[in-house]
Amino acid sequence: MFEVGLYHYITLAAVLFSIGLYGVLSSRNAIRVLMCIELMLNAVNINLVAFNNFINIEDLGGQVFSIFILTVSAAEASVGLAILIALYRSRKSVDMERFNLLKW
Amino acid sequence: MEQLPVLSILIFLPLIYALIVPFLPNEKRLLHTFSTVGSGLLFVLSVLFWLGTTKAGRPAAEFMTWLPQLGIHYNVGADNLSWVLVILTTFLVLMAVLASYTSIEKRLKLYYAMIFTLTSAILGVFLARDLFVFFLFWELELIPMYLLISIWGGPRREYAAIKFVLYTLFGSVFMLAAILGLFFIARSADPSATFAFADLSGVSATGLAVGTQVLLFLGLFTAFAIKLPMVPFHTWLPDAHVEAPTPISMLLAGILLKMGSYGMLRLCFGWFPEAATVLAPYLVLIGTINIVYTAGVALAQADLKKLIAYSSVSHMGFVLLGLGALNAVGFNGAVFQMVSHGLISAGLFMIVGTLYTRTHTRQIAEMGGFGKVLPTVYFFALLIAMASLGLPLLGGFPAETLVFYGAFLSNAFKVIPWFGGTVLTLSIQTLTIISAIGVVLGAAYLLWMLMRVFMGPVFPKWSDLKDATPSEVFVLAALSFLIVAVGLFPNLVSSQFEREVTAMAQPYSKMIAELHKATPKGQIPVISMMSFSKNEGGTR
Amino acid sequence: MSNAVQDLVWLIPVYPLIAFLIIVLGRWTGLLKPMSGSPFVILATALGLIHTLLFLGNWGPAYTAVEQNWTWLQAGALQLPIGYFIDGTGMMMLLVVTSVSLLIQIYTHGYMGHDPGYSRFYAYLALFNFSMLSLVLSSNLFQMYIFWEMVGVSSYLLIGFWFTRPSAAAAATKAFLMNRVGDFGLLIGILTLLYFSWTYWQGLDPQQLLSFSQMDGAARTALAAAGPVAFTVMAILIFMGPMAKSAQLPLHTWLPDAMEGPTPISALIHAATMVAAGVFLIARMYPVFTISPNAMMIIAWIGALTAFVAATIALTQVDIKKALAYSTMSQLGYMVLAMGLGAYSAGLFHLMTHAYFKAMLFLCSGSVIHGCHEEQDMRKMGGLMKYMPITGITYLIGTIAITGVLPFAGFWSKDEIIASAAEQPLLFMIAIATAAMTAFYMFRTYFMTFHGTYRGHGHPHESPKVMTMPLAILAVPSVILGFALSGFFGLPAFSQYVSFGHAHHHDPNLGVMGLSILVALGGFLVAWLMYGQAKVIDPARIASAFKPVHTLLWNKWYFDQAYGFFARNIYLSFASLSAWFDRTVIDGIVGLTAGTVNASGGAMRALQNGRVQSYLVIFFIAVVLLTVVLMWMV
Repeated sequence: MFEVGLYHYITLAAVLFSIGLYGVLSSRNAIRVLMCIELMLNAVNINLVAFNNFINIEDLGGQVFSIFILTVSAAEASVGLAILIALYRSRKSVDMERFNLLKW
Repeated sequence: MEQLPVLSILIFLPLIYALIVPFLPNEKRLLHTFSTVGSGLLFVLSVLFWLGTTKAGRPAAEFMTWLPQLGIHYNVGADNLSWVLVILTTFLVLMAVLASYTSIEKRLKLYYAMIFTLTSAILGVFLARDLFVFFLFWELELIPMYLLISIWGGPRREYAAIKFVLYTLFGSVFMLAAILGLFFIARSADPSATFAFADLSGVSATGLAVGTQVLLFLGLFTAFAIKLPMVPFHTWLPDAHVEAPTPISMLLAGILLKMGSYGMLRLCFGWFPEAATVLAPYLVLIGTINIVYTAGVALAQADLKKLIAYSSVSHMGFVLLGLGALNAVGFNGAVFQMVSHGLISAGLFMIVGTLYTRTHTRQIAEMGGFGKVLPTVYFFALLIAMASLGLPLLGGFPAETLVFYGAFLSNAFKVIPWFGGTVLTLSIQTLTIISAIGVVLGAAYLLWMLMRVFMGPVFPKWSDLKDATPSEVFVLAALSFLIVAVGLFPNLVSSQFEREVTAMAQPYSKMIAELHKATPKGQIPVISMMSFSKNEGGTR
Repeated sequence: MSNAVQDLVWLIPVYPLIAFLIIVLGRWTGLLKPMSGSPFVILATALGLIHTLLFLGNWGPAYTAVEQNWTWLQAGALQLPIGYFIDGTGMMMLLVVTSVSLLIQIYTHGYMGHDPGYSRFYAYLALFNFSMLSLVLSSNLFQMYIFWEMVGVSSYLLIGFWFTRPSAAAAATKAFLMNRVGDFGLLIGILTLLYFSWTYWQGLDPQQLLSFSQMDGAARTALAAAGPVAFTVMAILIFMGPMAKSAQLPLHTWLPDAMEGPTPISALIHAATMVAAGVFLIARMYPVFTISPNAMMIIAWIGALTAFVAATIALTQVDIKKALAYSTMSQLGYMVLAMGLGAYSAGLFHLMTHAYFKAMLFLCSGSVIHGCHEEQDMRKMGGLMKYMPITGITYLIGTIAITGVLPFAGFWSKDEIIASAAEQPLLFMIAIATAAMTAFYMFRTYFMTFHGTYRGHGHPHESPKVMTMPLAILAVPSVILGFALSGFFGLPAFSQYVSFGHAHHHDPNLGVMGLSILVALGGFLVAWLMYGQAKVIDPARIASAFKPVHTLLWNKWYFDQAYGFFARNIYLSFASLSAWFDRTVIDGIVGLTAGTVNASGGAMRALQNGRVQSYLVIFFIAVVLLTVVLMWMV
């Protein structure tokens, strides 16, 4: 019978992370970038939970971590969206190509 | 006078002025008056303190523990060599403040604050007796100078200011490395050694390999050579002078360049006699190039201020020549040249400034016949230019005489060792003769300048120029008075520092004799000198 | 009394210095009115003359040299002294300088009376007097170098007195520069002498460094140390000073140009006193020159050639002052020739007589220029004898004196020089030829100016008494000085007072005397035929017949052109080449360094485009690479 093992979780997490990374690096829409960052965080969460489950089930460290990450990412998403709205107000756009203010 | 910390007062009084100036009401007259009185007081104090300490019969010295863990202490002191330069500084600052009346218009508060900070830094350099404190003051001088050039300067002021700062910093890097190296060498011999001059001056005599000495010498020398300035590190100076306002040019030529020559004499030649003996041929060679080459450059200038700037470089070459002679006469000549060049170049820049405030041009081609419309300026220009070209009975002559006599009677070297064991058959006598050509060239560019600027018919557009204002006359007259006094009675000046400077030259006759003995005649292979390990130097 | 006069002899140059300071400070503070100041200067010079005469009167029968030194500048083992030293030669110079100056200063009051720079002129005169008298009193070579330059600068100031004229400005600059070249040689010469004789001076009182009274031993020590070749080079270097100051070939071209200065200056500085300082220096340094026969020969030849070349140029001059300037140069050549031949007394005797009659000739020319409304071209003069008789007669006396006709002053001194050349046929011929030309060109100027009919504009007039009186006084020594000191008429000969080593008096060489009078008469005759009443020969015909020669002389042997070429092509190319090098190469390297830093910064800047996403790409690539590297390492 097909057994779901640690490697499957890791692979899933890796695929999810790569999709997220691709999205972060290539998207022109800032909202999509934000969502892809969430995707990457979730990939990390999967990793943490999976390792916790397969390696040391007594210790709940990994699961607690993932809950922390969920909390922080929620805060991050809200701050990020707020920034995006502020940016949209000033630039009438959320196109990443147009945000190069970090240049000196 | 017993308990009064006279040197610290001199160093920090201008700094206090600099802190007071921003809180004064923004009124031109008040600021000018305050600064004049302040710098006048400083000058009077410096003279009084000097007389007081000479009367007491012992050199002034003050000490305060600062960073004992690092061997750094606030340590200042003054012998007569320092005193001469300190009094020159305070005097020229007073002159520069007076010259500011007519030439500085904007942001006077910041201007005077910067002038006084600069004064403080320069006095600190001349009075420091701790190498780290010396370095601090050396670097502190950069900030006000940068601002003074870049705010009150001419059209290309930022270029000139940045060039000045970068050049000086470039030299400071080497100086810092040498200072640290020297300190750690001293520490390795004696764990309680500090940065005090007294602890470091004897390091070279403790069996330090000649190669190491040469490295330390060159590290310090690079910074001083840039300040001097020595060819090929001189191109910051014409730019800085052309852009700087008149009082700043006076200070720059009058005192800042002396920091380089003072450091050279006290630190390089005073502490590393062996290295100096090895390097003297090259220094004299470069000094000769300094004198003749920059005189040639000056001859070709169309810009009056640039001409004076190059003449200033040319005359500082005499300091190198005098130091390279490695004898008491040459050293005294070098110090004398510092004093007389301080007065003369300040005077020449003052002349250029008075012309510039009237005509707003520095192009010689646009001038002519000023002798008729500006007779007072012409009188002083004539006098100071004559002093600059070395006319006897004026300030420049005794210095040049001592340098020439010292160099010509020196036995510092007969040939210049060159790479690959070959030699250049140039003795110090030959090089002295070549530098004497600089005297002819000096006469050429100064007389030609006088002829084109002051003689001939008056240009119609200049026919209603006003002659010098009282403040300008005062500055020019005070400078001229000193130039004449120094020229007529040179012994009054030279006897002040003669004993100390002669003592500095004491070790050299032995060094030179040993160097000539150790190497066969005419062949001083330069590479063998460069041995770095101890007890291996072939020349000791 | 006598002691005070002797001890205070250093005051002689101080009197004019005080006068100078009074005028400068007085004019500056406004205490002196614009057209004043002359009494101070004249008084100072008169005091100097009186002091000199008192000194002479109290000197004592032996005329022993008086010397006193003070330290002027000390450094280490070197002490540079100043002081005074008076012997026969120095006393002769003192007398000449003070007496000629006094007369010229009185004359100046008339000549410059209406010039707005009257006070300034007197101030400069005082400065010159101070420098010249200090030079004469110098006890050592170093001090002489100091005042050597000081008289140079006085001359610069006075040549450029009318500095608004471009030609005067150029002439002043040229004079100073050319003298600087000579001073350069002199300086190197002094240094070389000191270098080679250092051991000798160390054995003496340090205050006697380079003093003339000890020069003999120094010269011998130096000769032993340096060897004959180097010693000769050194002597020639020292001679470069006199070469420039006394306008000897090839450093002479400044002297004719110096005539741009006011005429009293031409008389005082550029005829009587300062230009003679060169000869005086040779006299003072005689111990050095005499022991180097080659140097003596070179000096003699340069003197002879100068005398000859200057005389040829004087043949064609039409400007009265320039003609006299070339004549001065020629006479200075005679003096240098005499020094080179070892005829010490003869050279200095000629210096003395020449000072009086040439000063008089120049003052006459000034009087003429004044009378002809500032005209200097002799072609626009003529027939002035009847308008200005005193000037004319004194000029004639001067002309006869310089020509060397018995019994006028020039005869005695010049004849001695020519006689001393008798052993060297070539030099003798040059000297005789020059004497003939001298007679010709001097009478030419005389005839062109004072005979014939007036060719200029306006009405010429005789000068005021204040100008003619000095002329008359100067005429006296021009006439009598020669035979008074010739040794024939009861008085002791000049060489009794002024001599090098032991005094020796030659018997007059009658053949030479006759010959020199003969050629002088010949010169006079030709001049009379060409320019006198007779007008037998047309000068223009002669000029066109010898066209190449005339062109050469008219262009003054092309010296000025050669120097102009040198200055433009070598001097200024050196300057512009170094300026180019400084701007392009040195500053170029500096700029290149700065540029490299700048460019590398610019290259790095491209990485920083400000976009978060591209930063992330780099970040990601770096993480991947790091991971790979770590894996490979583990």
